[in-house]
Amino acid sequence: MLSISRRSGAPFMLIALFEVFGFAILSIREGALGLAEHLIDPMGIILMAGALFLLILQYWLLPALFRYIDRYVMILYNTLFAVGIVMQYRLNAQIAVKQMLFFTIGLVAMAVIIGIFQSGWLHEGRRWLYFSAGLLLLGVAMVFGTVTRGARNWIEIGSFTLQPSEFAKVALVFVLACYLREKRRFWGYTPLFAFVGISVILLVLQKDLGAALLFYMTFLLLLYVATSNWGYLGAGLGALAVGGVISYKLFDHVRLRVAVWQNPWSMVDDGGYQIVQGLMALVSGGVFGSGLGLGSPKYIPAYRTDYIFAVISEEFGILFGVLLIGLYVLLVFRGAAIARRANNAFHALLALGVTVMIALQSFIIIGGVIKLIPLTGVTLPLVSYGGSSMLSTMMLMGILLAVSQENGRADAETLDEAYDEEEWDEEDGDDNYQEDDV
Amino acid sequence: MKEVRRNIWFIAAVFITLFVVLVVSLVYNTAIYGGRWVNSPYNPRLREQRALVTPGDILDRNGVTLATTDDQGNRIYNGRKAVRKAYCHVVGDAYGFCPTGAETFHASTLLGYNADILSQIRQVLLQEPVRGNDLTLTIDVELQTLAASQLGSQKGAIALINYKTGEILALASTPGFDPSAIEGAESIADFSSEDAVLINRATQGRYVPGSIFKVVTAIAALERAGISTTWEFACTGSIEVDGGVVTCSGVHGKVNLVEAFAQSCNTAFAALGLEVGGANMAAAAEKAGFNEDFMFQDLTLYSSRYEMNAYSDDYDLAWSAIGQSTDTVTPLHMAMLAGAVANGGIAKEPRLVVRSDTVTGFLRSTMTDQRYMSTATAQTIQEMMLETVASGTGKKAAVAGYEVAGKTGTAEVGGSKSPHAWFIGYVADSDHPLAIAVVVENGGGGGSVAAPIASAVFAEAIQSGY
Repeated sequence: MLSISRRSGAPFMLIALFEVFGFAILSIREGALGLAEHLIDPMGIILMAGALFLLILQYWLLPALFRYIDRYVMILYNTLFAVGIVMQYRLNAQIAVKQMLFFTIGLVAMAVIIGIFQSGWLHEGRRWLYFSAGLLLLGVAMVFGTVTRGARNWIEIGSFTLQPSEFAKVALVFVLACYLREKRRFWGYTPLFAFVGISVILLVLQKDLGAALLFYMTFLLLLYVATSNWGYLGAGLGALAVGGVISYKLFDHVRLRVAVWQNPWSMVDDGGYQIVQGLMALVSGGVFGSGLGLGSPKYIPAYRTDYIFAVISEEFGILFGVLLIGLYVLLVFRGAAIARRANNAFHALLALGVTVMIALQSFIIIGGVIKLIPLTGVTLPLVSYGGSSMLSTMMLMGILLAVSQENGRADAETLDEAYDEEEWDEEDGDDNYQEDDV
Repeated sequence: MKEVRRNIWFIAAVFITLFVVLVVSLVYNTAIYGGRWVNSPYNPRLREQRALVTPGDILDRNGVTLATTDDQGNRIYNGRKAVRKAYCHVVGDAYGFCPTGAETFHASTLLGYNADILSQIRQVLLQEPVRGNDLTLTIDVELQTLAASQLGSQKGAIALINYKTGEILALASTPGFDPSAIEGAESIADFSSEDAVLINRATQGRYVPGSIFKVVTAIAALERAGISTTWEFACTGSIEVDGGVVTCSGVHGKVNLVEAFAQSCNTAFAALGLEVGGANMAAAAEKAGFNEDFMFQDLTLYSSRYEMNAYSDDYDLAWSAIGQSTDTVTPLHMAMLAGAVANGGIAKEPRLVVRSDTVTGFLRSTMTDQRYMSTATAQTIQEMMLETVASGTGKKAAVAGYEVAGKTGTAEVGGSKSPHAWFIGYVADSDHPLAIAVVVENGGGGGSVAAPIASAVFAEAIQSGY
């Protein structure tokens, strides 16, 4: 595989360059047009400085703290964030400042997770912790939740709002990994089935269909990976189809969503408005985009969250949109590689769970925006605006990096032992995957 | 653990496939539908652009101005009201009330929204008044006006095309509206009356075809059921099918396929349809462009529908073979069908815009022509259509000095309403490659009402040198 020198700063330089140009262009835009008091918007310069500072800090500090963490993953999440933060600043400076703050907190959370993971505290035996954390987070929204845009998935704490289902994703990844790490008989998975079932039902009751789909599909794919059982996958997908048909028959909003997907143009004035506006934005910039700041993204409802992909595609061009999809593909590659290198099934499933979660989420929202699949509102990881989403995604990144760190440490130890014993053994000696009777 | 590792690659491969599908779908949809999305009347960017940019002029093929903008920025249409009303659906209006018109469908050209980045920068730097591109249409405004006047106060549509190039010479729809008067209108409701004046009947009107559909039935019989022109049928004025009755306009006695076509014998074609079968009928109709979502570059054309299949019951199938039942067609598509017969089976993509040599011109040159039937079938159908005008129901479509071919239709619309009058046909002269479709809503008999209109339009077009 293509490799960059461990210490190479080139990719980080490119990200920095993108941020410098992006913020520079945007911060003089209004001034140059005579729309603002100052020629240069000070907020833009502050944000630029902040973004560069975070980049440099990560570049020096993270490898110093955690020697073996995967630098590709670092580059990828930083690139995605850079695109996101420049776009958020173009849309609204105040929002961009908040997003920058969320990312900073997210980085801290990520580092803390890697640290705790390294200490061994977050091990596979703590299943009741992961279980109760997940259910608690989802239950809290059910009990204390406020209704936003038809979905009861937010809770308010003082002036802050949180979306607990975002954090439940982190718990889900742990629950899946610790339950699926060893093969069991069908009934052995009962607690896991119960957990996923309750979670999905709670999410559906909160009308957070995007998260419900995300939870269920992540569970199904990981179940297949752990058991190699096509029956589970087939039955699971069958159940999804049946559930889909039933909810289509039962719920008006589901029917509307499908109808809107099939032909948004026939109901431009009500249900189809968002999709139609999104499609028009998507293509309005052509292949190379209308140029940063020259599009008209604010006609699309949810332009800074769910529809950020259409906004990016309008201003940066469809080609850039394709490349953005490419970044998620690279993340999948990298996540899968880390999972494969993992020392044990628990680590492998953790890394894969994170990968699947992020890949699914970006597929669901981009697919919805380009009208490939019915629209389901989830955020575009690391690019969309949103505190809970940013924080939980960074926590997921933390898990992925923690596994890569463990992989590296284990490799180093094997290397040391090999030196000690003066024998070079190519044996694939990490098969400590426990098999119960199957 | 080995198993898990193998499955991890499998999952990665699944996701990479999904993302590839995502990219392909994004690129494909953008390439195919992108232009329509941008030019949608719902696109607020065009409205924004309209406030900043002077839209280009719209001209007819001879350079006559159909729409322009004056110094105050008002959109000015042709000086004569009759002309304005005649071309209103083709040109459209500045407000997008008639969204299929060129003002909306070609808005990105008129507003220069697709101007290249360098000229955009120059315009900003030099603070030039920004002006969009002109648009030259293929229609001849005189022919267009004549066509509309032929329909007069009746509702209906006429599509006249050059079947060798696909150029639309006239595309009339009545009743029309006055695009100049739309400015004073309070809302779209003032215009969208019961008469549906904003609808372009030639491209959006889905009509029962009646006997003109026999062209398709004949194609199916010749091409898919091994039936030749010597096929014979004895018409007794009605035929019993599946407990129901299909009636004919008269008692034609013993007729062969050509006579049955020329005399428009319903019983013969009902029997023919049954003999051909639902699957063959559907296959022939779909090859001839039925049930297709037309994605033409220059205009929106609604699809014609043929809904029979191998499992349809005989009664429906028999009626569908003579263009009743659930069959519906759009007039421009019928003109394309007549043109395909004349053109040896090839239907040209209809064109409404005269191509200009822009940098991106190469993209516009790829037109999607389609074969609607084989050349041999087309020749046989030509004979049948010539016979129809020479001695059959279409005599009134004749033009002195020229050979005209065609098919009439008198489409029953149920209740006590008069039937729709139809004529589709072409001029059998390679110097005048003209094909037409005429429909007059509740106009009466196709041969007596629609055929003379076709004759008049053909005569005028030939006179003008098309």
